[in-house]
Amino acid sequence: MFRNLKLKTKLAFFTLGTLLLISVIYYSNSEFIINRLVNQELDDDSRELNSQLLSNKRAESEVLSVSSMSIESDQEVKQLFIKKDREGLYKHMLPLFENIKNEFKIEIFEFYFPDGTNFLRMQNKTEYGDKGEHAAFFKELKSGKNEITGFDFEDGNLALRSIRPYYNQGKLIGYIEMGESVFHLMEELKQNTGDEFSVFMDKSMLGEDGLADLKKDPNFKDFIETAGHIELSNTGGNGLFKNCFNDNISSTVKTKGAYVVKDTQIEGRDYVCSALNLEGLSETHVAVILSLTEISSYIGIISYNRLIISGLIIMTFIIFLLIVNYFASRKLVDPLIELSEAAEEVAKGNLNKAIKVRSNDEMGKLAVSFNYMVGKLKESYANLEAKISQRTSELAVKVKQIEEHNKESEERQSAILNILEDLNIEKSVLEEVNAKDEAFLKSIGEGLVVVNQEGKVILASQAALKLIGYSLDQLLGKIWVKDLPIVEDEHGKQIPYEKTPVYGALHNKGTSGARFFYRLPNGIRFPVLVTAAPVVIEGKNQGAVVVFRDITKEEEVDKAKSEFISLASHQLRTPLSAIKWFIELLVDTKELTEEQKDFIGNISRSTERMIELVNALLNISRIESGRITVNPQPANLKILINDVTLGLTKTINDKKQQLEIKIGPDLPEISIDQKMVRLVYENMLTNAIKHTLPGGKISVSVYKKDNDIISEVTDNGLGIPEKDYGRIFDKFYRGDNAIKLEPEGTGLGLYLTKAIVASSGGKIWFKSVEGKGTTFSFSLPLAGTVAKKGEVVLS
Amino acid sequence: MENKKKILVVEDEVALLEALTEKLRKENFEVLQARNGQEGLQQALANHPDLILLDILMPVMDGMTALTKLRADDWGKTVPIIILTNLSDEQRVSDSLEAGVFDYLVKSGWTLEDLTKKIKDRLGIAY
Repeated sequence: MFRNLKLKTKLAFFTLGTLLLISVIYYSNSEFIINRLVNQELDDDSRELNSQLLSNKRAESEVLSVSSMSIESDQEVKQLFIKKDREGLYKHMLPLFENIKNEFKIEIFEFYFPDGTNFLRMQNKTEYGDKGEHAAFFKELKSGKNEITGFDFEDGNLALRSIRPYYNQGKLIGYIEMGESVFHLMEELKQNTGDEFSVFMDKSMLGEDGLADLKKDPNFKDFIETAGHIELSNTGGNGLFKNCFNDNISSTVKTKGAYVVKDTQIEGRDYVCSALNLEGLSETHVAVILSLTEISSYIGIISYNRLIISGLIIMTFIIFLLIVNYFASRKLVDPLIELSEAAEEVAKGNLNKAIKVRSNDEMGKLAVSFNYMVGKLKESYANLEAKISQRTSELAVKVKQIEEHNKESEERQSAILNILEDLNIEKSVLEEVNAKDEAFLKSIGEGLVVVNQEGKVILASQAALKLIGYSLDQLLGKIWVKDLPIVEDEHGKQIPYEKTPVYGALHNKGTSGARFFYRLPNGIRFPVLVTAAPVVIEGKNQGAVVVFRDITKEEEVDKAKSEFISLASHQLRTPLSAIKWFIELLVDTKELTEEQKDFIGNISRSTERMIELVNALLNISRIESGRITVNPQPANLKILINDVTLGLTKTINDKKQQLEIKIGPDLPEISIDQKMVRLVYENMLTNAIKHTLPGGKISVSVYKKDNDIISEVTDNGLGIPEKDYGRIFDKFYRGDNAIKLEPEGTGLGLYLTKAIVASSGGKIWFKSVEGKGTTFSFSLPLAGTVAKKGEVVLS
Repeated sequence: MENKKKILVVEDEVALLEALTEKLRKENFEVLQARNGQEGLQQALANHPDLILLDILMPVMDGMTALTKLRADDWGKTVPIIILTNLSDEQRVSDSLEAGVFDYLVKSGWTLEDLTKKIKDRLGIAY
């Protein structure tokens, strides 16, 4: 968990931790330090007390000195002393003593002889007396000291004494001692310091008498007596010992030094007790002066100070660490953040990002490296971008092409939908041409390819793909069949695109068909029957529909059929020819009776009919198989017609009919299959002759009209009854009236004629009034007949 | 008296052969007969007729084969040939035209008279 924290947070934690540690260290130290400080303070305080005491002592000593000096200089006193006049000295000294006592609080005055015996003492009690000896300090005086000052307990009096040698004219005559009660001292101290004082003494020093005297001393306000010690105070400081120290204090003071300090708590307030050794005159321990200083103020001040100081120090630390933190953040973390953000941005693709180099240290180096890396990236990206933009522009072109293509496709698709819709409409239009009919009817399941006006494949039926062995992808967009090595003739030669039906359909040549070979990608080829029909929408060529089917089987069948037919017709014809010729020979014999001639004539006619029938059947079968060769050659129709009529002249003359031929002026030569068109003229003329009564008139007129040559054969014969109109071109059909007139027709003529005209690219129609006559007309396109390679010709 | 022109008729159908022979003889031609292509070829090469009438469908050797062989011959190259058949196969027509026959006639469409005229025409004989 700690790992996941941000750096700054970690830093803060670290800072706080350090802070905490420092605080703990500091605090524990500070307690110690402050204690020491306090103790120092107290020590100072006690020293102060001590010095104060000392200075007081000195001051008093001075006073004592001055006072004793003034006594010394008093001759009278001296004389009295020398005379050993005790009473006289006393009386003399008394006013002096009173003066001194009042002024300086000197309560003790003593005279001594040089041997140390006491001569006169003047104390509180205005009495005098003489007491023991103080040999110890006299010794010191004798050794040369001018003065001895010290504390002393004598005669129930604890005082600060000063002893001076007493001279007269250079000769030591004695000692003078002056003293001041410690209690006065204590009072002065209290006035000065405000502290409380008490004196603590070993009882052993006092003796019984001393104790009794002490108890009588009016200076004592109160004292505390224990087994070994007493404590006296006149400043309210009694009980200090009990509160501050234990029984060993006196020895402690004796051994340790001049003073001891101890802090204590009395009734909840802090105090400092100090014990000060009162050195005796001979530097012996006399008593201990105890003082009690309330230090709450000190402690309070110190504590308060301590808080402030701690606070200040801690604040300083905090500020310091915050500053450190801040700078660390700034210096370390911020650059890192900046770096990571920059890296992120660079990763997103902004290669212009650069980090400011703010220093020369590791962060700065990192920034430099980073910038360098980004620069390098930018370079390589720039290269890449250049390439990419180039490619992109290439691609854009491609994409645009594709888009256009798609757009085209979409347009094609909608066009196709229209086309397919229109196909249904076209169906009736297409019925005129049998091939188209068959193509369409069989288109379901047949090879169907739809191309746009450029001839590019936009649609292909499954059957188509299956037949030609290409996939739709391979076909789409390619020009059918130009772009594909599919179409060839029987010799394996590629059929030129311009000669294909699809080309014709796309170039306003209308619907046409052809028989080719298609070659599969694997090399196999098969014969196909192809029909291509233009798709015209709103007068504009929008493309074409190509239908093809594998006619291998058909061709085989056809081949078998045609061979059969050929053979059959050959077989049929042979006996017919024989009959025909022998009849001819028979007729030639000239030895026939009229009756015989007549009979022969009948046979002959029947034979001819049969021959006609066989021929017609053969032709029909050929026409129906679509294998007729159409071989257009430039032809002069005039010559053709003349040729035909020539052949029929006899028949016409026999029937006493009139023939009129009108050929239009400037009739151009026309490319037609002469054989076939000849058959047409023959058929039409023969029909006219047959269906017209003897003496009738037949006229032929041929003229140019727009893009066609129109040929008309008019007769004034039987005419065609209306009921027969629809069936006139049917196979074997003969009108009733025609049968009556001419029982020998096959009914195949017009069927054949129609087929031929269609093959020639023309149309045939008729006008008729029953009983009046008929006009049959057909057109031949000036553009000529499209050649067609077939296998048979019409005979 | 001018020489009679020799005509070779190659036809496997007896009746037709007879009819043709009869007519031609009547017309003052010398007629040679052959019943199949092989015979025809032999006859032709042996007798050098002035004109040959050649049927297509014949046993042993058919007309087209005979024709081809004939045309390979020096003399045979030039002899006038009329294909007389009841086949009206366009393929054959063009093949035979390539091989240089004058006519391809369907028997059933021609009277003997017309046929004779044709022959005379081809031989340059007046009629």
